[in-house]
Amino acid sequence: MGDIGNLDGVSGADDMPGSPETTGIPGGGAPSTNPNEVTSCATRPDPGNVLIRRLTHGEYDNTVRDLLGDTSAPGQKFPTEGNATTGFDNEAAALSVSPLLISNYSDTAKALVETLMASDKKKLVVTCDLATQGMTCAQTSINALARRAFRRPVTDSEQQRLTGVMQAAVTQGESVETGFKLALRAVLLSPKFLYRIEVDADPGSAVAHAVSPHELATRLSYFLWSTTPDEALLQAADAGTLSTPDAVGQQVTRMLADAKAHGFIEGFAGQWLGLRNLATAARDATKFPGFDVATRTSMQSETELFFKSFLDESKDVHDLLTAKYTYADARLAKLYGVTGAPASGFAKINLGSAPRMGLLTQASFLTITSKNNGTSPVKRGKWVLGQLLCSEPPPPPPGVPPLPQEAVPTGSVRQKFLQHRTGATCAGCHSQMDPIGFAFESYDAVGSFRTKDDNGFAVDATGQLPTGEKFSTALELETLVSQEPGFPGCLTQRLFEYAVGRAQNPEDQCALEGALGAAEKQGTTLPALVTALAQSTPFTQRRGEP
Amino acid sequence: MASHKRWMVSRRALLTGAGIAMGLPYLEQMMPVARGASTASPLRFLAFYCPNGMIADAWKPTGTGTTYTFNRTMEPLAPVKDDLLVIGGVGKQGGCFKGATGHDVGTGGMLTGGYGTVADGKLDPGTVTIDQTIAGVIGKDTKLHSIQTQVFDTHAFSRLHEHISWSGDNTPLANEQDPKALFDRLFAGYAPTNDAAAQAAAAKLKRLEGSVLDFVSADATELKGRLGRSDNLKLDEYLSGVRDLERQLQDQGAPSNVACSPVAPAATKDPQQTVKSMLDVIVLALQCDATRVATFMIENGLGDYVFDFLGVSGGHHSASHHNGDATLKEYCRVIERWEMEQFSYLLQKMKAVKEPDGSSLLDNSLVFMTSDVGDGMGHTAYDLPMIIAGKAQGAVTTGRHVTTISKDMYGFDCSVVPIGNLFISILQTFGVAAGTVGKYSTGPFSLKA
Repeated sequence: MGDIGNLDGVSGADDMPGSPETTGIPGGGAPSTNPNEVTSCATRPDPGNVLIRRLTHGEYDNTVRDLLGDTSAPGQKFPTEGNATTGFDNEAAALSVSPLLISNYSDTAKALVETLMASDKKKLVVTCDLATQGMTCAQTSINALARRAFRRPVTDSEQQRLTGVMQAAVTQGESVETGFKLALRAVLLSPKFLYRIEVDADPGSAVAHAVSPHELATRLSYFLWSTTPDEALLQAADAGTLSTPDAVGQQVTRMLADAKAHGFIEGFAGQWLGLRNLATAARDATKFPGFDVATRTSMQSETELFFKSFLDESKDVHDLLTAKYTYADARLAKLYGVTGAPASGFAKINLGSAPRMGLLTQASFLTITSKNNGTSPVKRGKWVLGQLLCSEPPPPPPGVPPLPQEAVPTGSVRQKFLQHRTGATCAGCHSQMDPIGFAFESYDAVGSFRTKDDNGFAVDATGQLPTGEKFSTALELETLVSQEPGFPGCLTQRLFEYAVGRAQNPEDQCALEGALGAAEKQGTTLPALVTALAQSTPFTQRRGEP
Repeated sequence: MASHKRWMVSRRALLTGAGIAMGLPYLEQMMPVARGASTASPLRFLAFYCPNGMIADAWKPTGTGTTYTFNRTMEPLAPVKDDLLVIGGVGKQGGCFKGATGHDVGTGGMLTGGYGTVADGKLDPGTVTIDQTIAGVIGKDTKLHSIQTQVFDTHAFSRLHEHISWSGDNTPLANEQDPKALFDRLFAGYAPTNDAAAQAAAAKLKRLEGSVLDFVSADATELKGRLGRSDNLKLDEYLSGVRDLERQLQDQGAPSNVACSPVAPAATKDPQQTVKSMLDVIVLALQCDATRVATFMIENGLGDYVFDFLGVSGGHHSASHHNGDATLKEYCRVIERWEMEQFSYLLQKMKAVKEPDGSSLLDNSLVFMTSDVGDGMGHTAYDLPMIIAGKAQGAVTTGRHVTTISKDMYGFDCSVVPIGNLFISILQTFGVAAGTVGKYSTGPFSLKA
């Protein structure tokens, strides 16, 4: 996934990571139609091996919210992490643990437990009286909590060891409550809580097998809610009724309708569409006065609400780029020159004849792909290729000189960027990126429509894709991208990476094709695509690591 | 867990401590742990990271050898000039190398002889950063094995941007960004050895909290038997963090040296004071022998902090791509000089700390400062800005400027000495015999005159 904030408009060396498996021509990210791969998949499906997955900081926050009723979001103070291959923060291989994080987990567990036991939320975890019922109450309570924290039935051995922690405190003259607190801290510091553990009967075997019902419940829950399974999921897993495709489909429908599906919108769309990057986007205050936290929050909310409408209304994913409506508050309505926004909050707005349509004319995209002091056609073009078509160009070779800077511009940004295309070194990639970026020159670095570019010259938004298709505005370009076969394929790949927590392998192509094919039979709606992925082999099965 | 052997345990502390009788078995408690049976001070290692390179016209000193003069950026280092070995010309690779690199692999791979890979956000296979190799030797018996710190965080995107210290190619070590939190990790549970009540409370805490750690260790051990190879590597990361917690719990005793009196940093929101507080806590940690290895990042890689307190507008990384713009270039010089003021503050503090044997903390340290790139505009990976401070107990001849920069056939600068060579010699200083560091090293780089 592209490294949005990381692109320099000019050379930038390998700050522009290209992942080898996604490098290619536009549309190259669509699942392959290699018949051999399809055949081998049908005969010997390989679901791949997923590592144990440490909770992301956001998942940790949501999980303690649901387990303990604690909404303090302690994970926001955990150490900053960076992304690896997929660009999603839930990628198993990149979720490492350092001594500082373990120290943070330990301190946080202690604080969470002290806060819980001193508040009326205590009854969420302790449903009896520790003072009068003593160890019996403590055991009942800790075993029930451990089941929810470990997302599966607790073993006898675990129950005994939890009792052991509590008994040891009592033996040393402490109260049962003190012992219970220590056991609760032990649960919250356990790897069985901090990681999503999946076990193979034979960890060294490459033979595919279904994940256990509780593992499946956990996968569904963190995919669609970014949090721990609820009681309905756990009970379905307990009863062994979760694992059929129909049952999975019903759960997906139920879960997407739940308020906790915001976890999916924030987690998936927030990263796929770069919305999380808005929080740290900065703009030159003299050129863009009023670009403040509230503005950035509005931009984020707009795209989240827009994405949500595709889930709620089962809309065709192609329309993500062509829908003639958006969600705007008064601030955004003013930016877009449209009417109908309420005095406070957001409303669905018909864009009418405004030069806006779909995701790529929303202020969020236009802002996160710009620089502090102006637009970057290269960033915008690269973003569209990488995020929407899964065909991000490779980084420029070392030693590429920057474009010369002029104190007083003698031509438009577009004219200056033509130098990218004069030498063979640059032209290979820039002939793909730049024309797409030029289409958006009609929008400044915070998303306002304009007719003059950063250099003060008239905007020319016309262009031609490497495939020969022509466009004269950003809206026409959006229509062309929405019709690329690679677009729904790329969205499928991004959803897949987010769902399974690993980069796509060649072995996954038939599963991706199958999921997209199944969704296409239902109008390629976003819920259909999500459902098909949740029913796919890589999501419902796993294997060991030979 | 083995009992802790502590350097700088005074005879008086032992005699008056909580019931500890002076006897032959305890003599070893007064001996330094990592350096054999002498009363010499331990050796320490620090890495100091400044992102986005240095503008050469203000960075490069004039002259070489012992008579060189500072240029503008290094001027704040004048009070410690005799304690510096300024090194020019070293690159990520040798062999007349003049390539470029990204801020991601430049930062993540800074303390390695290689780069790492952008696509998967890892170091080169099998790589451990030199601070961690050194900590493996001298960090075994201190309260914390090593510490990683950072001040300004502008949230870059790759894990390579965010970390200079890695215990494995896929295990970056997170940076503590809050001086007070770092202080608490180092000195929480501080129980003076002559305070029996505090000692008893610490012992009780150890028993109670120890049961939590025993439980989670048993959980991890049980899982290890049921998971695959790569999963077990993940659990190893977890277990090494739990072992650190165990060590902290075991090591509640006070540093007995009178020179070490841990005082928590005052809370501050001022960015400049935050930098100083972090450096203060680092010095305290070394002085008190709570750790012997530390890394410090002023910003993350791709750091785009807005140094408005220096009269600079716009972010640091943005300014580094100045495209020749005089204002932006000057912003970089101002920021870089300020960075050297902070470096000088650290070194002066270390120099002021007197060890029990009369030497200074700086004399017993090797402080390595560099950046992810040479020139921020071109992302150059050759002729990196580089300083070693501290004599490292005689292993480094300071008070010098050496440069190894060379010219290619067209007359352009290139590096002939790969950074791996320098790291071979740094590791040797700490008793690690490394024949090579990374795939480009060719042999040791002399740190002595």
